Amino acid sequence: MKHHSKRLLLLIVLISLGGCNALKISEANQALSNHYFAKEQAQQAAGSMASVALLDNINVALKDLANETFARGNEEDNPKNKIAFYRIAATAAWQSGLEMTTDYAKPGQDLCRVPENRVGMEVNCSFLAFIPIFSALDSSSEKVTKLNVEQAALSSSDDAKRQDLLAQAQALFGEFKLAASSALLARKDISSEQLSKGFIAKLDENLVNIVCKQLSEVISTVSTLDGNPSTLRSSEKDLKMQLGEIDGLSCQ
Amino acid sequence: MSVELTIFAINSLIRLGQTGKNAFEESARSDDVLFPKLKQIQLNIPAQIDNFFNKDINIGYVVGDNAPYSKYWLSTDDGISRPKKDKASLDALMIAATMLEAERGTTFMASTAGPAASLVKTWSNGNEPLSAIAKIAIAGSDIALEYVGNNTGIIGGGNGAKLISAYAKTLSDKLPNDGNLGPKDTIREQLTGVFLRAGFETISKHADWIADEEHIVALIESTIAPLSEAFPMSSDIDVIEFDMLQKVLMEEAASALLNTMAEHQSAFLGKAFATDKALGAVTKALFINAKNIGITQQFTKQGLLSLYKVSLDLVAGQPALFFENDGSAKSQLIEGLFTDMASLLSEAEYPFDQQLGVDLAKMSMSALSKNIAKFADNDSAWEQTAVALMRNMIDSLIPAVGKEGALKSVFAEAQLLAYGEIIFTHIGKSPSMIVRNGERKYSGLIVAISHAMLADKKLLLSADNWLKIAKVAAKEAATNPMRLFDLDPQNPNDVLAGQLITMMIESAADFEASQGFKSVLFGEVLSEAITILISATSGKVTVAKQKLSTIRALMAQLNEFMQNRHNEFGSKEFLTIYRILLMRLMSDIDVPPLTEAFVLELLTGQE
Repeated sequence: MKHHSKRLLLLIVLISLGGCNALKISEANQALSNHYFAKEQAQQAAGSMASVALLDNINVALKDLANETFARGNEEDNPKNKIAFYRIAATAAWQSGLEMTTDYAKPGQDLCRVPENRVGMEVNCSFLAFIPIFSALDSSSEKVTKLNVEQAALSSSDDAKRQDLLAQAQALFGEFKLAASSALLARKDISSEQLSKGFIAKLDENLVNIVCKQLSEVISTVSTLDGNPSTLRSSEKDLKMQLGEIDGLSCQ
Repeated sequence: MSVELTIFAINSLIRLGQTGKNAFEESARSDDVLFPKLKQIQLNIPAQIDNFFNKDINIGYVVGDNAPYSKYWLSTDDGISRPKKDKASLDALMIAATMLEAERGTTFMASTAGPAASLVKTWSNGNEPLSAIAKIAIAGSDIALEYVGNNTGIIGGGNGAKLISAYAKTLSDKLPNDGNLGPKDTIREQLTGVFLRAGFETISKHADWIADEEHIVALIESTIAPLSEAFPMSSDIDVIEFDMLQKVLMEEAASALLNTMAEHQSAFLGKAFATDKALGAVTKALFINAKNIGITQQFTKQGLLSLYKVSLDLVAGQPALFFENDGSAKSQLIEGLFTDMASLLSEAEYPFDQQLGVDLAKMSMSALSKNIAKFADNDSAWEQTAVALMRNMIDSLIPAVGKEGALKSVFAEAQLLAYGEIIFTHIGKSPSMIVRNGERKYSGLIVAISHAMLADKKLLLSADNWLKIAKVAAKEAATNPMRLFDLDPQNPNDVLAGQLITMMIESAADFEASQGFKSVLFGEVLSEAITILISATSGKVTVAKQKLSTIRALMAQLNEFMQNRHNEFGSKEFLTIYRILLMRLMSDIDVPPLTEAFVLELLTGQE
């Protein structure tokens, strides 16, 4: 445990050393990975003072990275380099918890509509389309988790509060449904592209998780707040059908 | 991989300039893309039960005529399907869910993980934009281009070409041909790149450096190999930790390594590759200590790197110390010296937690390394003695010059360094004066002076005065080692020289306290009086011990006498009379009560 804390402290310092002049794509990519995996590590050790401080520090570093790489993307002349920088910026913004990931992804998405810019940049472009969706889903997941905590502490006699939570849960299902539909559409858009198997596999794994697991979890949240989930379940069924239209994906 | 082809590719890319840069950018754009993990929902227990039994595979247990747990479940025709809210129903369903999952070999409530994060390839199979050899060449040319600029002649021959060749050899020989780099391969690639960059920097600083390609390859290898051994890279955190440590430390370390090579070229002549191994061992020690001690304070990083440079200089400057008779490097010695000294400094208090600590460490290692046979005893080697004496120095000085010390404002860093030089030069010349008590080792000179410093609460002496005293004391200690500075290992604070100096300072302080003003006995005069006392007593230790109180009484008497006649007598007269009377005391000649007539007789040389 002591050794683990020391490692976390080490990471705190190292994370704060981020930032350098004229950031290159490879450096930005590496920094993104380092910050991200350090954050995962800190989340696994959640609860200790060191991990709280570390998470704050990493989020600041990720925001800095998002802004720095976005600025580098703006300065670049080569559209492919711009796309790479915007993809890194949007991912860093998403992981730092920034609200408007779309702002960081949009210039890259626009460049990706030009066919010659897309050549060799298919994964970067595809991912740019998904980042705002995933970011929105993350935000909704966090809210559903919070609702579950509030519901667990709810008094059975507090009907007004329950009704308020139920309305929030139903709205969150709407958000999930919208994001899941967008993700499935975006996935269909890239079906014909030559993308790496690793990227497609990871993408599909996440789509299945969203449609087959997370949607039903939101429905269960609505259900245990005394809502009637029948219309929600038919929407879920529609989405599962749409999922099945993509390369034979299913919830089985 | 073909070394020749790699070198050719790098050189070509450098000559192509912008095309090389474009190739590097393309390579960077094809790097793996981070696919983060999406956040997962954390359900409360009723929602988990709801979710579990509403799955197609489980709904039959709660809904239907034969459903075993239907009495705990609420199911209506308008679509409501959820657990009943009473605690008994929830408990029963939870137990049922747990049993069902156990039968399936899984665990209830374990499905919160979601897909893990990963780094995904940006290219489809068979469509890989660049081969491994091209990536190496592109990365190498990108580094070289930073330094070459428009002067492509730098790679036409000489050091630049040797660096590139060494870079290509180090990578081409070791990386897998399929280009699928594991964590260790990636580290190798990164470290080699750092060396290439450091190599170009060294060329720009040392025009006279004649780089030896074989030595550079050996140096990189002997750096990478021990690091690979020390960092197993068996988990994500291992990789992240090493990656970050190397980012923080390696650039400066590689630069220091190659600069050491350039500055000590003779140490690397011929085929003495063991020197490279010894330097590799120092680098390993740097990283291990950074990992163990941490680099969370600014000193720790800079301190470790400074200590690293000191150790490199020691290895390159006196290579014979660090090799066995068969020519192999004494890696354990190097690592041990570095680790012990780093540990000591990382725990040291102000001001020794600064660069000052490293500079003093350098003095101690250097002083003792020049006379290793005499500093090694049966139980410890010279390097352990160097660390032990450094500890003695720090521990002894902290009470006087540390944060709480009365003399902290008296000694500037430069003066503490000068003090350290006097002490360690003396120690280097007088190994027999080191006394051992368990793991601790003491020098009589260190103990005597630092002990006396504690007595100077009224700041009667300046740092320069103390330096003068230290010089005289060091000289006397070297001349008569077993007298004034003799140490009892069981009572290492009790050194006669320390008692004498303390007595002089206390006497002056007592006078000031009783009279309310200073006598002549402070600053230059006091330091002169102390040096006179040290010289006078050096050969007469037994008498000095017997007459400590008599000398103190004489000081008080003389102080009072001079103060009452301050219009007639000054510091010069004070010192003259003091010297004469001290000699009389040491020679067992009685000193009568001080009268004006007697003093005048002394000054005119009649007595």
